[in-house]
Amino acid sequence: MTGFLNVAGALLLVLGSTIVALAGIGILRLADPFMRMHAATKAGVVGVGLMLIGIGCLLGTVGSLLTALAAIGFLFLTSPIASHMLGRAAYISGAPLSPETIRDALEGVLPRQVVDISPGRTVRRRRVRADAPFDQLTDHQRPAKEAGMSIVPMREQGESLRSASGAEVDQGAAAIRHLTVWLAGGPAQPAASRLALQIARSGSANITALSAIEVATTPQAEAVPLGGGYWARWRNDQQRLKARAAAANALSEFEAMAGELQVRTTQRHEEIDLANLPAVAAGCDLIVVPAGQDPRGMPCEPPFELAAVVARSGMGPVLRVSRRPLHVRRIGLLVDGNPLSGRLAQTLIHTGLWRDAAVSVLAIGDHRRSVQQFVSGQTELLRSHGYTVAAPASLRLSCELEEIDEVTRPLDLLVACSLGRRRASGWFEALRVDIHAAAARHVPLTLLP
Amino acid sequence: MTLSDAAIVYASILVSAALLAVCWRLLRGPSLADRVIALDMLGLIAVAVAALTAAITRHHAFFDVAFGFALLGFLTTVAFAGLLERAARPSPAGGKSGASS
Repeated sequence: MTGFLNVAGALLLVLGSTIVALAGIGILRLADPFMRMHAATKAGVVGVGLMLIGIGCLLGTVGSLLTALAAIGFLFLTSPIASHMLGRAAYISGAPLSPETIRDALEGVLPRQVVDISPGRTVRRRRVRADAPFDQLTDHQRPAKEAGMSIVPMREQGESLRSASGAEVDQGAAAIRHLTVWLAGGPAQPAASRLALQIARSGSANITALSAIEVATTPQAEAVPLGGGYWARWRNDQQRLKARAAAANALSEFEAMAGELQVRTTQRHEEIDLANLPAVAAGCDLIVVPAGQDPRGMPCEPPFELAAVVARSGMGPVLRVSRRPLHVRRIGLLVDGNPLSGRLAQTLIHTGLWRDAAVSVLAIGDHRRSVQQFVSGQTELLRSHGYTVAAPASLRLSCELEEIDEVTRPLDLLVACSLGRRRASGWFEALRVDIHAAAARHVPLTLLP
Repeated sequence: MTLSDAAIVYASILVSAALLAVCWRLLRGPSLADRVIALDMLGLIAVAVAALTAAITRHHAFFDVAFGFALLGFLTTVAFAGLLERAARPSPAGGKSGASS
């Protein structure tokens, strides 16, 4: 019996190690990652499995044979899963296909990061070189380094010069002609709808009620464990149904209000990928968005809100409403080092609303020269448009929550360039209070350029 | 030299050759996916080497080590696959950076 086990073990060992060596050659020589994976997983598992049985036979005890069988069983269970996930990840991450590939069956099924290189080279995304001559870049590639200087267009400067030189201030020049109100549902929606309707009525503007539901292009956004795809799809469907119900509620509420105030409205409902947002709401002066919800309709912190997403997508000025103030008497401009800070005053002036409110400029970290310039330039611009501008206040970069509360509590409207940072860019940054988010939490209205 | 010793020597040489090939692929790349695949195969080779050690020393404990490697390799591969996929996809809320100060 031991003689038979020895011979069988030796044969299996020789066979298994040969297959392992072939797998090694395959990994070394085959043309693209997918072929190499085919070598590694199939030949590798079979070879190692045969070797395990062979050595189990050589050792000759029942325990070692059982251990070998357990190890093989485990390898056969896990290896398909692991290699499936690996292949999927390799495809999505844009691992190059060999030029001899006849057909890419996954094309259009899985999203794939496009890499324009031959299989022999390292995967690297294209990036615009910082030192590339500015004129040779197309509009999309151009870095925003000049944004700080040319934020206020020449037309605005001309107007301010004229009014400063004694001519009458042009009251009706900037006003809202087309308004969009976002129907997302949630606690702030009635306030947002009513405020938008009031603005539209006072300026006799067109108002569009827009409800957009995010539809991801693939149902499953990241790698999920075994069976997770089903639950991810289920959860997505549930969320979409919920969002539709919320939008329908908000719409009926909005129509009731519009009937009450006698404003003519148009409605739109879109189910899109969030990347296409700008195309949906193109051509409006102001977008009114209810606060407190993320694009999927879940409650969240200010930096992740729908308003922040809409503002980042660059569709136009966003008015975020968390509750409706009786009057807007005090407006605060929150200026920091962000290049968008230079557009705050212009955004406020363009709305043409709240012209009799007192404006104060809050500078964050005003020891910085760019911030000082932002503050002085915008104060000048607001004064020349006939706003009453109070003396600027300042916040330290690392101020406490109480200080922010004290400064922002009397405000009815905050004009800021963002709703706070989505993630801290370092340890010290994480310790700091997020001034934008803290301010946006208390002030009823926030205007984002 | 008995038959089993000869088989063990033969297997050791071939497995070492495979190990060298896989290490070359791991260092060379060229893409991250290649390296992860090589790492996956390296786990399998570790199982084989531990089993061979058990056969050479006639010690059962090394066989359990092989079993441990087989368990662990799966987790490594899955984790790396997740990382690879996540690194490739842009975050769903992404877009231009609006971070402040």
